[in-house]
Amino acid sequence: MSNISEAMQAAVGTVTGRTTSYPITESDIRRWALAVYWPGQPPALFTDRAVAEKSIYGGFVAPEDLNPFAWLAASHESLIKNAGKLETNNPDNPEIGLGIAGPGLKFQLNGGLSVQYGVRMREGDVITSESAVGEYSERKGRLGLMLFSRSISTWTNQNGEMVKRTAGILIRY
Amino acid sequence: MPDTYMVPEVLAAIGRECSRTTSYPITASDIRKWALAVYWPEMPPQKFIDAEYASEDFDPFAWGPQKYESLLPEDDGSVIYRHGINEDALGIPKWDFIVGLNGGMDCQYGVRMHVGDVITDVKSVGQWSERPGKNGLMLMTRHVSVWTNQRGEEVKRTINTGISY
Amino acid sequence: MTVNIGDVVPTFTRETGFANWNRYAAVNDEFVPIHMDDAAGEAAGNGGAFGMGNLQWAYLHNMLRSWIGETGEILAMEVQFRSPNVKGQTITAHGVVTAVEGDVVSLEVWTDQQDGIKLAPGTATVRMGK
Repeated sequence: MSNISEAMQAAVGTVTGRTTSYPITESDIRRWALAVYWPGQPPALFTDRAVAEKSIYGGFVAPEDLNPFAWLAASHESLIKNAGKLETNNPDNPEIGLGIAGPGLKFQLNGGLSVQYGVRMREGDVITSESAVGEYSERKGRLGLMLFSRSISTWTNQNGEMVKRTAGILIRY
Repeated sequence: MPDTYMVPEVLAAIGRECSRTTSYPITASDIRKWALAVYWPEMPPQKFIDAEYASEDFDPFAWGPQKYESLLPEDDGSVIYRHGINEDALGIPKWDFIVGLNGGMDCQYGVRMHVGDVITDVKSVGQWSERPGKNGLMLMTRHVSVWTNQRGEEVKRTINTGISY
Repeated sequence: MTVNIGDVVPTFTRETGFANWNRYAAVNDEFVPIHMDDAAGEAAGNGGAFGMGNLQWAYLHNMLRSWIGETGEILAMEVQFRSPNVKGQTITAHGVVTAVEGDVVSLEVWTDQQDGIKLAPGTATVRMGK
Protein backbone atom coordinates (compact mmCIF):
# COMPACT_ATOMS: atom_id res chain seq x y z
CA MET A 1 0.00 0.00 0.00
CA SER A 2 1.65 3.23 -1.14
CA ASN A 3 1.73 6.49 0.76
CA ILE A 4 2.24 8.45 -2.48
CA SER A 5 -1.09 9.77 -3.73
CA GLU A 6 -1.80 10.98 -7.27
CA ALA A 7 -2.07 14.50 -5.92
CA MET A 8 1.39 14.24 -4.33
CA GLN A 9 2.88 12.92 -7.58
CA ALA A 10 1.27 15.76 -9.53
CA ALA A 11 2.80 18.33 -7.18
CA VAL A 12 6.40 17.47 -8.09
CA GLY A 13 8.10 20.52 -9.64
CA THR A 14 5.87 23.12 -7.98
CA VAL A 15 7.80 26.22 -6.88
CA THR A 16 6.77 26.63 -3.27
CA GLY A 17 8.44 29.76 -2.07
CA ARG A 18 11.08 32.43 -2.15
CA THR A 19 12.86 33.58 0.99
CA THR A 20 15.31 36.43 1.41
CA SER A 21 17.77 36.67 4.28
CA TYR A 22 18.85 39.65 6.32
CA PRO A 23 22.40 40.71 5.46
CA ILE A 24 24.90 38.22 6.85
CA THR A 25 26.87 39.75 9.71
CA GLU A 26 30.31 39.03 11.06
CA SER A 27 28.67 37.78 14.27
CA ASP A 28 26.49 35.29 12.34
CA ILE A 29 29.68 33.83 10.86
CA ARG A 30 31.58 33.85 14.16
CA ARG A 31 28.81 32.24 16.24
CA TRP A 32 28.12 29.55 13.62
CA ALA A 33 31.80 28.67 13.54
CA LEU A 34 32.00 28.65 17.36
CA ALA A 35 29.03 26.28 17.55
CA VAL A 36 30.19 23.79 14.92
CA TYR A 37 33.79 23.64 16.16
CA TRP A 38 32.89 23.58 19.89
CA PRO A 39 34.65 22.77 22.10
CA GLY A 40 37.63 23.40 19.80
CA GLN A 41 38.47 26.85 18.45
CA PRO A 42 37.28 27.60 14.92
CA PRO A 43 39.67 28.74 12.18
CA ALA A 44 40.63 32.39 12.67
CA LEU A 45 39.34 33.02 9.13
CA PHE A 46 35.85 32.99 10.65
CA THR A 47 36.52 35.05 13.79
CA ASP A 48 39.42 37.45 13.24
CA ARG A 49 38.85 40.35 10.85
CA ALA A 50 42.56 40.95 10.30
CA VAL A 51 43.08 37.31 9.32
CA ALA A 52 40.01 37.32 7.06
CA GLU A 53 41.16 40.48 5.27
CA LYS A 54 44.62 39.06 4.66
CA SER A 55 43.16 35.81 3.22
CA ILE A 56 42.42 35.19 -0.47
CA TYR A 57 38.84 36.19 0.28
CA GLY A 58 39.78 39.68 1.42
CA GLY A 59 37.18 39.60 4.16
CA PHE A 60 34.88 37.34 6.15
CA VAL A 61 33.42 34.35 4.33
CA ALA A 62 31.01 32.02 6.03
CA PRO A 63 31.44 28.28 6.62
CA GLU A 64 29.79 26.65 3.61
CA ASP A 65 27.11 25.10 5.83
CA LEU A 66 25.96 28.46 7.33
CA ASN A 67 22.21 29.01 7.37
CA PRO A 68 21.59 32.76 6.86
CA PHE A 69 17.83 32.24 7.27
CA ALA A 70 18.07 30.96 10.85
CA TRP A 71 15.74 32.62 13.39
CA LEU A 72 14.07 34.98 10.93
CA ALA A 73 14.14 35.76 7.25
CA ALA A 74 13.83 39.34 6.01
CA SER A 75 11.02 38.31 3.72
CA HIS A 76 9.23 35.18 2.71
CA GLU A 77 6.99 34.84 -0.29
CA SER A 78 4.92 31.73 -0.20
CA LEU A 79 3.77 30.53 -3.57
CA ILE A 80 1.76 27.70 -2.11
CA LYS A 81 -1.92 27.80 -1.20
CA ASN A 82 -1.86 26.89 2.46
CA ALA A 83 1.23 28.33 4.07
CA GLY A 84 -0.87 29.55 6.96
CA LYS A 85 -2.01 26.04 7.83
CA LEU A 86 1.44 24.65 8.65
CA GLU A 87 1.84 23.34 12.20
CA THR A 88 5.23 23.24 13.86
CA ASN A 89 6.89 19.84 13.40
CA ASN A 90 3.82 18.24 11.72
CA PRO A 91 5.06 15.44 9.44
CA ASP A 92 2.34 16.29 6.90
CA ASN A 93 3.57 19.88 6.49
CA PRO A 94 4.94 19.41 2.94
CA GLU A 95 1.50 18.36 1.67
CA ILE A 96 -0.52 20.64 3.97
CA GLY A 97 1.31 23.58 2.46
CA LEU A 98 0.49 22.41 -1.07
CA GLY A 99 -3.20 22.13 -0.22
CA ILE A 100 -3.32 18.37 -0.68
CA ALA A 101 -3.83 15.51 1.76
CA GLY A 102 -0.66 14.29 3.44
CA PRO A 103 0.19 10.62 3.99
CA GLY A 104 -0.65 10.92 7.72
CA LEU A 105 2.55 9.26 8.90
CA LYS A 106 3.49 9.79 12.54
CA PHE A 107 7.25 10.24 12.52
CA GLN A 108 9.71 12.22 10.46
CA LEU A 109 13.47 12.24 10.18
CA ASN A 110 16.07 14.26 8.31
CA GLY A 111 16.95 11.74 5.62
CA GLY A 112 19.91 13.55 4.24
CA LEU A 113 21.15 16.31 2.05
CA SER A 114 22.70 16.51 -1.40
CA VAL A 115 24.35 19.84 -2.05
CA GLN A 116 26.36 21.61 -4.71
CA TYR A 117 28.22 24.76 -3.71
CA GLY A 118 28.83 27.83 -5.83
CA VAL A 119 30.45 31.04 -4.53
CA ARG A 120 31.12 31.59 -0.82
CA MET A 121 28.71 33.56 1.34
CA ARG A 122 30.32 36.76 2.63
CA GLU A 123 29.71 39.35 5.33
CA GLY A 124 27.03 41.69 4.03
CA ASP A 125 25.53 39.25 1.50
CA VAL A 126 21.78 38.96 1.15
CA ILE A 127 20.82 35.42 0.14
CA THR A 128 17.62 34.47 -1.69
CA SER A 129 16.36 30.91 -1.59
CA GLU A 130 13.86 29.52 -4.08
CA SER A 131 12.35 26.18 -3.15
CA ALA A 132 10.48 23.60 -5.22
CA VAL A 133 8.88 20.18 -4.66
CA GLY A 134 11.22 17.30 -5.57
CA GLU A 135 10.61 13.61 -6.20
CA TYR A 136 8.75 11.18 -3.89
CA SER A 137 9.88 7.55 -3.47
CA GLU A 138 9.31 4.65 -1.04
CA ARG A 139 11.33 1.82 0.45
CA LYS A 140 10.81 -0.83 3.14
CA GLY A 141 13.18 -0.11 6.00
CA ARG A 142 13.80 -1.12 9.62
CA LEU A 143 11.02 1.17 10.81
CA GLY A 144 8.43 0.01 8.23
CA LEU A 145 7.42 1.40 4.82
CA MET A 146 9.42 4.61 4.59
CA LEU A 147 8.41 7.56 2.43
CA PHE A 148 11.21 9.71 0.96
CA SER A 149 10.28 13.20 -0.18
CA ARG A 150 12.61 15.86 -1.50
CA SER A 151 12.67 19.60 -1.34
CA ILE A 152 14.93 21.38 -3.83
CA SER A 153 16.26 24.80 -2.95
CA THR A 154 18.51 27.11 -4.91
CA TRP A 155 20.33 29.96 -3.14
CA THR A 156 21.65 33.03 -4.94
CA ASN A 157 23.33 36.14 -3.58
CA GLN A 158 22.49 39.79 -4.32
CA ASN A 159 24.67 39.57 -7.45
CA GLY A 160 22.65 36.65 -8.81
CA GLU A 161 25.52 34.23 -8.28
CA MET A 162 24.65 30.68 -7.27
CA VAL A 163 25.66 30.00 -3.68
CA LYS A 164 24.15 26.58 -3.09
CA ARG A 165 21.77 24.05 -4.63
CA THR A 166 20.27 21.56 -2.19
CA ALA A 167 18.06 18.52 -2.38
CA GLY A 168 16.84 17.92 1.18
CA ILE A 169 15.39 14.50 1.90
CA LEU A 170 12.63 13.97 4.46
CA ILE A 171 11.88 10.43 5.65
CA ARG A 172 8.49 9.73 7.08
CA TYR A 173 7.20 6.50 8.61
CA MET B 1 33.76 28.46 59.02
CA PRO B 2 35.69 31.54 60.18
CA ASP B 3 34.50 33.96 62.85
CA THR B 4 34.50 36.67 60.23
CA TYR B 5 35.08 37.05 56.50
CA MET B 6 36.03 40.70 56.91
CA VAL B 7 39.75 40.06 56.97
CA PRO B 8 42.32 42.68 55.86
CA GLU B 9 42.62 41.19 52.30
CA VAL B 10 38.87 41.47 51.78
CA LEU B 11 38.75 45.04 53.03
CA ALA B 12 41.76 46.00 50.91
CA ALA B 13 40.04 44.69 47.76
CA ILE B 14 37.06 47.04 48.01
CA GLY B 15 36.95 49.41 45.07
CA ARG B 16 39.70 47.70 43.08
CA GLU B 17 39.14 47.47 39.33
CA CYS B 18 39.77 43.88 38.26
CA SER B 19 39.11 43.40 34.56
CA ARG B 20 38.19 45.14 31.33
CA THR B 21 36.25 43.19 28.71
CA THR B 22 35.59 44.52 25.21
CA SER B 23 32.82 43.28 22.98
CA TYR B 24 32.78 42.74 19.23
CA PRO B 25 30.89 45.50 17.40
CA ILE B 26 27.17 44.90 17.88
CA THR B 27 25.40 43.72 14.72
CA ALA B 28 21.76 43.94 13.69
CA SER B 29 21.65 40.15 13.82
CA ASP B 30 22.77 40.13 17.48
CA ILE B 31 19.98 42.53 18.48
CA ARG B 32 17.36 40.71 16.42
CA LYS B 33 18.20 37.17 17.58
CA TRP B 34 18.35 38.21 21.24
CA ALA B 35 14.90 39.74 20.96
CA LEU B 36 13.51 36.70 19.12
CA ALA B 37 14.83 34.43 21.88
CA VAL B 38 13.53 36.46 24.83
CA TYR B 39 10.07 37.06 23.34
CA TRP B 40 9.61 33.53 21.95
CA PRO B 41 7.02 32.19 21.20
CA GLU B 42 5.72 35.65 20.38
CA MET B 43 7.36 38.02 17.92
CA PRO B 44 9.32 40.85 19.52
CA PRO B 45 8.54 44.52 18.89
CA GLN B 46 9.39 45.57 15.32
CA LYS B 47 12.02 48.03 16.54
CA PHE B 48 14.12 45.09 17.77
CA ILE B 49 13.57 43.10 14.59
CA ASP B 50 14.76 46.16 12.68
CA ALA B 51 17.58 46.60 15.21
CA GLU B 52 16.85 50.29 15.82
CA TYR B 53 18.49 49.70 19.16
CA ALA B 54 18.97 46.77 21.53
CA SER B 55 16.70 45.81 24.41
CA GLU B 56 18.09 46.87 27.80
CA ASP B 57 18.84 43.29 28.84
CA PHE B 58 20.82 42.59 25.66
CA ASP B 59 24.27 41.16 26.29
CA PRO B 60 26.87 41.95 23.62
CA PHE B 61 29.34 39.60 25.35
CA ALA B 62 27.30 36.47 24.72
CA TRP B 63 29.38 33.81 22.90
CA GLY B 64 32.56 35.56 23.91
CA PRO B 65 34.29 38.92 24.17
CA GLN B 66 36.63 40.35 21.58
CA LYS B 67 39.20 41.11 24.27
CA TYR B 68 39.68 40.43 27.98
CA GLU B 69 42.33 42.20 30.06
CA SER B 70 43.16 41.98 33.69
CA LEU B 71 43.52 45.29 35.53
CA LEU B 72 45.24 43.69 38.51
CA PRO B 73 49.04 43.70 38.45
CA GLU B 74 48.87 40.36 40.27
CA ASP B 75 46.95 38.75 37.38
CA ASP B 76 48.44 38.18 33.92
CA GLY B 77 44.98 37.95 32.33
CA SER B 78 45.62 34.55 30.79
CA VAL B 79 42.50 33.10 32.40
CA ILE B 80 39.14 34.70 31.73
CA TYR B 81 37.13 34.87 34.92
CA ARG B 82 33.48 34.62 34.06
CA HIS B 83 32.52 37.23 36.64
CA GLY B 84 35.64 39.28 35.96
CA ILE B 85 36.88 39.19 39.54
CA ASN B 86 40.02 37.13 40.15
CA GLU B 87 39.78 36.45 43.87
CA ASP B 88 43.08 34.55 43.96
CA ALA B 89 44.91 37.56 42.56
CA LEU B 90 43.20 39.76 45.16
CA GLY B 91 44.50 37.49 47.90
CA ILE B 92 41.04 36.56 49.12
CA PRO B 93 41.28 33.45 51.33
CA LYS B 94 39.81 30.24 49.96
CA TRP B 95 36.91 29.48 52.21
CA ASP B 96 35.15 26.11 51.91
CA PHE B 97 31.77 27.30 50.69
CA ILE B 98 29.07 24.72 50.09
CA VAL B 99 27.20 26.94 47.76
CA GLY B 100 27.43 30.25 45.86
CA LEU B 101 24.13 31.84 44.88
CA ASN B 102 23.10 34.62 42.55
CA GLY B 103 21.45 36.97 45.00
CA GLY B 104 20.17 39.36 42.39
CA MET B 105 21.08 42.20 40.05
CA ASP B 106 20.47 45.90 40.32
CA CYS B 107 20.92 47.76 37.04
CA GLN B 108 20.80 51.39 36.12
CA TYR B 109 20.55 52.08 32.42
CA GLY B 110 22.17 54.91 30.53
CA VAL B 111 22.23 55.30 26.76
CA ARG B 112 20.89 52.58 24.46
CA MET B 113 23.10 50.12 22.62
CA HIS B 114 23.06 50.44 18.81
CA VAL B 115 24.38 48.54 15.83
CA GLY B 116 28.10 49.19 15.50
CA ASP B 117 28.67 49.97 19.18
CA VAL B 118 31.62 48.40 20.93
CA ILE B 119 30.90 47.94 24.63
CA THR B 120 33.56 47.89 27.34
CA ASP B 121 32.78 46.29 30.70
CA VAL B 122 34.95 47.22 33.69
CA LYS B 123 34.35 45.04 36.73
CA SER B 124 35.40 46.07 40.20
CA VAL B 125 34.94 44.90 43.75
CA GLY B 126 32.03 46.71 45.35
CA GLN B 127 31.17 45.83 48.90
CA TRP B 128 31.60 42.78 51.06
CA SER B 129 29.48 42.12 54.09
CA GLU B 130 28.50 39.20 56.23
CA ARG B 131 25.35 38.05 57.93
CA PRO B 132 24.50 35.07 60.10
CA GLY B 133 22.02 32.71 58.49
CA LYS B 134 20.47 29.32 59.23
CA ASN B 135 23.33 27.65 57.35
CA GLY B 136 25.98 29.61 59.17
CA LEU B 137 27.81 32.86 58.49
CA MET B 138 27.05 34.09 54.96
CA LEU B 139 29.38 36.22 52.83
CA MET B 140 27.57 38.76 50.66
CA THR B 141 29.45 40.26 47.75
CA ARG B 142 28.32 43.19 45.71
CA HIS B 143 30.49 43.55 42.64
CA VAL B 144 30.14 46.43 40.21
CA SER B 145 30.09 46.19 36.42
CA VAL B 146 30.11 49.38 34.36
CA TRP B 147 29.45 49.27 30.64
CA THR B 148 30.47 52.16 28.37
CA ASN B 149 30.31 52.50 24.61
CA GLN B 150 33.05 53.61 22.23
CA ARG B 151 32.11 57.25 22.88
CA GLY B 152 32.67 56.80 26.61
CA GLU B 153 28.95 57.09 27.38
CA GLU B 154 27.63 54.93 30.20
CA VAL B 155 25.33 52.19 28.94
CA LYS B 156 24.67 50.24 32.13
CA ARG B 157 25.84 50.04 35.72
CA THR B 158 25.12 46.79 37.49
CA ILE B 159 25.57 45.64 41.04
CA ASN B 160 25.65 41.84 41.17
CA THR B 161 24.92 40.36 44.56
CA GLY B 162 26.43 37.01 45.48
CA ILE B 163 25.69 34.95 48.55
CA SER B 164 28.10 32.23 49.68
CA TYR B 165 28.02 29.96 52.66
CA MET C 1 50.06 18.47 -1.71
CA THR C 2 49.80 15.48 -4.08
CA VAL C 3 46.58 13.57 -3.64
CA ASN C 4 46.15 9.90 -4.51
CA ILE C 5 43.22 7.50 -4.60
CA GLY C 6 43.01 5.84 -1.22
CA ASP C 7 44.42 8.81 0.72
CA VAL C 8 42.81 9.17 4.12
CA VAL C 9 41.74 12.63 5.29
CA PRO C 10 42.67 13.53 8.89
CA THR C 11 39.56 12.94 10.95
CA PHE C 12 37.44 15.39 12.94
CA THR C 13 36.10 14.04 16.23
CA ARG C 14 33.65 15.30 18.83
CA GLU C 15 31.99 13.82 21.90
CA THR C 16 28.34 14.69 21.43
CA GLY C 17 25.38 15.38 23.63
CA PHE C 18 23.22 18.29 24.72
CA ALA C 19 26.26 20.57 25.07
CA ASN C 20 26.94 20.61 21.33
CA TRP C 21 23.36 19.96 20.19
CA ASN C 22 22.14 23.00 22.16
CA ARG C 23 24.85 25.26 20.78
CA TYR C 24 24.03 24.19 17.23
CA ALA C 25 20.31 24.64 17.88
CA ALA C 26 21.06 28.18 19.10
CA VAL C 27 22.73 29.25 15.86
CA ASN C 28 20.51 27.30 13.50
CA ASP C 29 17.25 27.91 15.38
CA GLU C 30 16.68 24.17 15.35
CA PHE C 31 14.73 23.69 18.57
CA VAL C 32 12.98 20.42 17.81
CA PRO C 33 11.67 18.18 20.64
CA ILE C 34 13.54 15.04 19.45
CA HIS C 35 16.82 16.95 19.86
CA MET C 36 15.94 18.52 23.20
CA ASP C 37 13.84 16.02 25.12
CA ASP C 38 14.34 12.34 25.97
CA ALA C 39 10.64 11.49 25.96
CA ALA C 40 10.23 12.87 22.43
CA GLY C 41 13.34 11.05 21.21
CA GLU C 42 12.09 7.81 22.74
CA ALA C 43 8.66 8.22 21.13
CA ALA C 44 10.42 8.52 17.77
CA GLY C 45 12.01 5.11 18.32
CA ASN C 46 15.53 6.19 19.26
CA GLY C 47 15.67 5.53 22.99
CA GLY C 48 16.03 9.18 23.96
CA ALA C 49 17.00 12.59 22.61
CA PHE C 50 19.39 12.49 19.65
CA GLY C 51 21.47 14.97 17.71
CA MET C 52 20.48 16.76 14.52
CA GLY C 53 21.75 15.46 11.19
CA ASN C 54 22.75 19.02 10.31
CA LEU C 55 25.45 19.00 12.99
CA GLN C 56 27.06 15.88 11.49
CA TRP C 57 26.86 17.67 8.12
CA ALA C 58 28.83 20.52 9.72
CA TYR C 59 31.44 18.13 11.17
CA LEU C 60 32.03 16.59 7.73
CA HIS C 61 32.59 20.11 6.38
CA ASN C 62 35.00 20.91 9.22
CA MET C 63 37.02 17.80 8.37
CA LEU C 64 37.31 18.68 4.65
CA ARG C 65 37.93 22.38 5.26
CA SER C 66 41.01 21.65 7.33
CA TRP C 67 42.43 19.26 4.68
CA ILE C 68 41.89 21.30 1.51
CA GLY C 69 43.57 24.41 2.89
CA GLU C 70 42.40 27.99 2.90
CA THR C 71 42.50 28.36 -0.88
CA GLY C 72 40.62 25.08 -1.46
CA GLU C 73 36.90 24.78 -2.11
CA ILE C 74 34.24 22.33 -1.00
CA LEU C 75 32.30 21.84 -4.26
CA ALA C 76 29.61 19.31 -3.37
CA MET C 77 28.51 16.88 -0.69
CA GLU C 78 25.76 14.33 -0.42
CA VAL C 79 24.94 12.45 2.77
CA GLN C 80 22.25 10.18 4.19
CA PHE C 81 21.38 10.06 7.87
CA ARG C 82 21.11 6.32 8.51
CA SER C 83 21.64 5.88 12.22
CA PRO C 84 20.92 8.41 14.97
CA ASN C 85 23.52 10.30 17.02
CA VAL C 86 22.31 9.35 20.48
CA LYS C 87 23.75 10.52 23.80
CA GLY C 88 27.16 9.34 24.89
CA GLN C 89 28.55 8.84 21.39
CA THR C 90 31.87 10.13 20.12
CA ILE C 91 31.37 11.07 16.49
CA THR C 92 34.22 11.00 13.98
CA ALA C 93 34.03 12.46 10.48
CA HIS C 94 36.04 10.46 7.90
CA GLY C 95 37.06 10.87 4.27
CA VAL C 96 38.85 8.65 1.76
CA VAL C 97 39.85 9.76 -1.75
CA THR C 98 38.06 7.85 -4.51
CA ALA C 99 39.05 9.84 -7.62
CA VAL C 100 41.44 12.63 -8.61
CA GLU C 101 41.07 14.80 -11.72
CA GLY C 102 43.55 17.64 -11.75
CA ASP C 103 42.92 19.57 -8.54
CA VAL C 104 39.37 18.21 -8.21
CA VAL C 105 39.12 15.32 -5.75
CA SER C 106 36.19 12.99 -5.08
CA LEU C 107 35.83 11.31 -1.73
CA GLU C 108 33.76 8.85 0.17
CA VAL C 109 32.85 10.57 3.44
CA TRP C 110 31.05 9.37 6.53
CA THR C 111 30.54 9.86 10.23
CA ASP C 112 30.68 7.00 12.67
CA GLN C 113 30.44 6.47 16.40
CA GLN C 114 33.09 5.12 18.74
CA ASP C 115 32.50 1.44 17.78
CA GLY C 116 32.79 2.22 14.08
CA ILE C 117 29.07 2.02 13.35
CA LYS C 118 28.33 4.38 10.47
CA LEU C 119 25.84 7.13 11.16
CA ALA C 120 25.91 9.28 8.02
CA PRO C 121 27.53 7.92 4.84
CA GLY C 122 28.00 10.02 1.75
CA THR C 123 30.28 11.48 -0.89
CA ALA C 124 31.99 14.81 -1.43
CA THR C 125 33.87 16.69 -4.14
CA VAL C 126 36.52 19.28 -3.36
CA ARG C 127 39.06 21.42 -5.18
CA MET C 128 42.40 21.25 -3.40
CA GLY C 129 44.01 24.50 -2.33
CA LYS C 130 47.32 25.70 -3.68
